[in-house]
Amino acid sequence: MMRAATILWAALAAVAGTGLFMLKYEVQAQEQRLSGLRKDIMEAQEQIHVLKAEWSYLNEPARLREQAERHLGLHPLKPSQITTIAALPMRDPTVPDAVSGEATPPAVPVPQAPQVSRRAPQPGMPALQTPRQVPAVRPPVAPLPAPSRPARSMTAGVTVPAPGGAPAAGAPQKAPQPKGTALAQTKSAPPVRTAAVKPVPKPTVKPATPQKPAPAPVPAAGPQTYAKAPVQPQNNGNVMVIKSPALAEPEVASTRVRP
Amino acid sequence: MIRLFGRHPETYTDQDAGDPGTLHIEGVRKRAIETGRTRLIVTGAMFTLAFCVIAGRMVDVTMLKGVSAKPSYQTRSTDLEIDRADIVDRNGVLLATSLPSVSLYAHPREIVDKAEAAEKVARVLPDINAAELRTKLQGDRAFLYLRRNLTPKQEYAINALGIPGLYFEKTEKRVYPQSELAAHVVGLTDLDNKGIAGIEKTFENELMARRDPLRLSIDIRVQTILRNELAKTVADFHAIGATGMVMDVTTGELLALVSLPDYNPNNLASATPVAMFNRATLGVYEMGSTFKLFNTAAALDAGTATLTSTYDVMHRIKVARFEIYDYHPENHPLTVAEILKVSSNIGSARMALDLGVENQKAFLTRVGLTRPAAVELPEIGAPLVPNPWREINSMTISYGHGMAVSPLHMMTGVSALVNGGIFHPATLLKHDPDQPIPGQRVLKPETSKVMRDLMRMVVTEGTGGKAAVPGYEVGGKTGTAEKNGAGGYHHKSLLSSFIATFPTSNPRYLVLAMIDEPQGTKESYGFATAGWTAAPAVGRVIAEIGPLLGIVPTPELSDREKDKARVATDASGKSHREVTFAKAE
Repeated sequence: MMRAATILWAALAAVAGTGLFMLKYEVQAQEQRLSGLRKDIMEAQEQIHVLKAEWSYLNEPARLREQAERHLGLHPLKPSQITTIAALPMRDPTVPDAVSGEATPPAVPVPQAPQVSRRAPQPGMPALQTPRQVPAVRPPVAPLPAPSRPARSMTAGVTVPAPGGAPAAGAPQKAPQPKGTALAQTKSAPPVRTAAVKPVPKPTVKPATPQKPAPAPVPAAGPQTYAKAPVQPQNNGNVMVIKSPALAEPEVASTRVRP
Repeated sequence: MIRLFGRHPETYTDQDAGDPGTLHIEGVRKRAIETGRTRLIVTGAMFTLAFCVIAGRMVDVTMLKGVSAKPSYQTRSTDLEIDRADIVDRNGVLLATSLPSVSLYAHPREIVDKAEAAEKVARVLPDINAAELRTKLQGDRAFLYLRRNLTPKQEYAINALGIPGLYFEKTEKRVYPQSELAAHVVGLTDLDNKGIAGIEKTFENELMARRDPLRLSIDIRVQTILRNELAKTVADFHAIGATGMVMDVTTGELLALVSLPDYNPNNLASATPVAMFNRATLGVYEMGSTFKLFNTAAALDAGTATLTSTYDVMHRIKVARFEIYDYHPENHPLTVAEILKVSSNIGSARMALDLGVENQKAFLTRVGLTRPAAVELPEIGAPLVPNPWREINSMTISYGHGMAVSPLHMMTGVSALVNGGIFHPATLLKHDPDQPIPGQRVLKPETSKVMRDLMRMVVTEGTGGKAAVPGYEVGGKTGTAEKNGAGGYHHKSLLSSFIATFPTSNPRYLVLAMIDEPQGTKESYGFATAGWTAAPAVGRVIAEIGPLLGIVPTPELSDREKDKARVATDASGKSHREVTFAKAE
């Protein structure tokens, strides 16, 4: 009895001692880690401090202004550019018709919205095409190659033979054309940004042509001047109330850089 | 235990009875045993006590006091410790900050081979002359700064040399990211990070004590615009200097303060006395015709003149050896409004005579022109006030001669004239919205209203026409003073100034531009007066800062028609985009 109790107490003492010992070392290790982290935080804060100074230096208003005028074509706001909503004239229904006279207004603006996000055309396209086109064969053909192109740029060679084989369908014929224009664009315009713009013309061309039964005018426009493709959405963009800055700016930048 | 300490007589009685001879011995043994027992008791008691104390202490430490034990030695905060706090503008843009840096110093007595050390150091730091450094090291100085603010590469290279006696010191370097932009406001520090000018000097102790940045009332964007326009004007008219300010008339906050020529506070060598001279606060000048604003306000406020009072300006005034005359004499009596519009000296002098010396003195004192301006800068100029203040002084002061004040005086004074009559001392610190604005009524609100209309009239039909900005109702007053130098006033060295407020219907901001010695150019038809130099600069500044500060323009009818036509034809998207970008900037 006495002996069992002694052994029990001894065992408990040993366990407690070991536990305490390990706890102590654990605490030491944690404190070391803590001090290491504190040191890292201090260093990071010091770097942030230095970077703040640099940020402030680079944001010097005179420098920003010079850069904005040179690269973005921006100028200081003039008092005449400020107006109140009340002072704006009422919308004149004849004006938009005059500017975008070439195509029916509803068809063109709708595909433009998805252009901003490259993947968006996929849902937008079938929605457009299915109501207009009666034959059931064409819609499945056209949408299938279409999504692959805007997403993976122009390199997809597999899709080319498939649409090319169908002479009658208007959509397949248009499909290769954008590719050609896209390739030509990459040759002439080196900046990467054009790649982002490229998907833009393709969807616009496609929905526009299905409305017109004759495929001929579209191929003619494509090879002649690919430059027209990007211009077209821009005109439309001016008519639209909502204008994406992503559309216009790369173009401004590239034209400015060339000279 | 009980058996050990208890008495057991029966064990002894048996033996004692048998042998009486052993009694003595038994007695001795017993006594020894008793002694031993007593000692045992005492020792036992001591031990018991000791264990009790230990037990008590354990309870105390573990249960009672254990909670308040120190967690660890690293309880200090992890915030970056900076000796000198940052200075930022009203939007939080850094104007001055302290960056960590390393300085190199030497204890020459600990260096073994001084010649070799000097040569090695000179190889790493090319701008140090080896021979010079050797003589320095061989001197009897115990401490020597070799170089301040080493680059990290240099620090590494010096360290790699392994020369004993060379040490690094962690220091801070004061850096001004905006360079000369706000040099005269922020000031600068010397090599030991002691403020020697501007805010750096005024708030020397506070900057060392505080942690969060000191927020100024300056708006760096307004400051840039003002500085650009002044620099352009100085270049166009070959002036020797310029100064300008923008003030919020409702609070007295200065949004911009520029004095040209200025210096780059990052480069001590550029801070020459000429460049460091703050024309806005330290320089005192005879301001010229802008003083007519005070004269008119004083006369209207005191009731010695009304807007319809007329004064004879056809005859020059001759007092002693002085003669007061007009540059463009009018041949009919002028009303008070016309006197301000055409800036007639004679008319102003006659108004001052009606007003009286004491009234004038009291008014100028009320608007703070007779004492040094109160602003948080060490560079404050005391105004030069005539003493004694005679009638002739009163007459010349009416059109801004015979009394010299700093441009800052003009700002605070005129702001009281236009803001409804409350005098707010100028400040360079951002106003805390919770705090009341210090102010003191110095003018009747009606007089202030009249003054605003008069200033508006000066721009629409008077001498300040070139400051007009379509969309903003600008009201101001030109002032062209001849500088007083050796041998009297110089007709060729002018001080052209223009002070304007906008919008006059509800003034928010006051803008001043003062050009020192502009020369007439072909574009200005040879004129160097304020209407041709300072007024257009103020107009351009207002056109740019108005939209920036969120003042909604009030288009005049013709402008609105033009706008309608423009909006209809132009792409509306363009202006929208520019608005957002301007805001983002």
